[in-house]
Amino acid sequence: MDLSAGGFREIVMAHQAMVFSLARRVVIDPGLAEEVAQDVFLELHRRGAEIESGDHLKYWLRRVTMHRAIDQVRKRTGRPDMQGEEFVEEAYTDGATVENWQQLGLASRVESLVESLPDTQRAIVTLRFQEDLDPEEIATLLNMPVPTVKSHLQRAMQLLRRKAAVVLKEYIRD
Amino acid sequence: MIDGETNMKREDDFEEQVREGLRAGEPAAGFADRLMQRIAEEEAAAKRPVVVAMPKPKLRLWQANAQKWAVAAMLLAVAGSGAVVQQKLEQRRAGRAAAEQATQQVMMALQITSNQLQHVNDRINGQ
Repeated sequence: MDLSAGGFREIVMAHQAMVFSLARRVVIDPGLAEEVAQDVFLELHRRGAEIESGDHLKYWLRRVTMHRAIDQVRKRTGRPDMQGEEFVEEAYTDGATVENWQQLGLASRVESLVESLPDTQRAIVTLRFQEDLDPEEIATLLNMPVPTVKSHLQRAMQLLRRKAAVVLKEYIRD
Repeated sequence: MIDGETNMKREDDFEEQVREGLRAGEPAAGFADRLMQRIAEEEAAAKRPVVVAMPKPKLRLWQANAQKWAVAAMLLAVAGSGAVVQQKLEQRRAGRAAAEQATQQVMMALQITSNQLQHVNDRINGQ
């Protein structure tokens, strides 16, 4: 890997959006996310010689970013990840018959909805939809069994759908 | 009644919206500059020579004791010479007092002699 100042800057420019966004979605606070992203690139600069290819670089960046970000969240909150489903008023989600999510502008609200997910689910949803990784790749990246990833993903999507239905129905009513 | 196809379409639509909402965004402007600055600082810190204090040689038991004795002897010498100086000052003060007393006695004797001479002179002149 080209570790000259110019070469390294190019690598940073090419991957900073991915690293920062992954960190941002896990730690939520943008300042802390920048700190995490900078630490990841600093470590890459120190250990650049170990990187063998472009794919390896992407994998390495995703893995180190996710682990560092999750560590930060645990350090900051000092609590284990919430595993339970959050309470969502069933009255509003009854049937969850939203016909067209796009028309309701779901995309613009996804970020805040994802932020409200439990930490692990948030990390998995981010890797699945921001990075387009499949559950097997996510499992390798997070050192988790594949069925665990799948079940987190399934629960996260159910929760997201319910939350989205509540938020968007409120929006339609207003 | 919702058929399977409609339900799948809804799922796809939902996931597509999530994907769109979670697109990667750039960090604040100047991210790479700040990073390169940190790297430069780290490299400069790594190049700075490390100053290591020379360890003090460990003294053997007799050396440590010799040092203690030397310090004690020096203190005794200082105290002794102080006492000698003090004694000399006392002697000088006593000598000065004795000389002063002798001077006073001589002055008194001269005064007496002068008085007597005056008395004799008065008597001679009176006759």
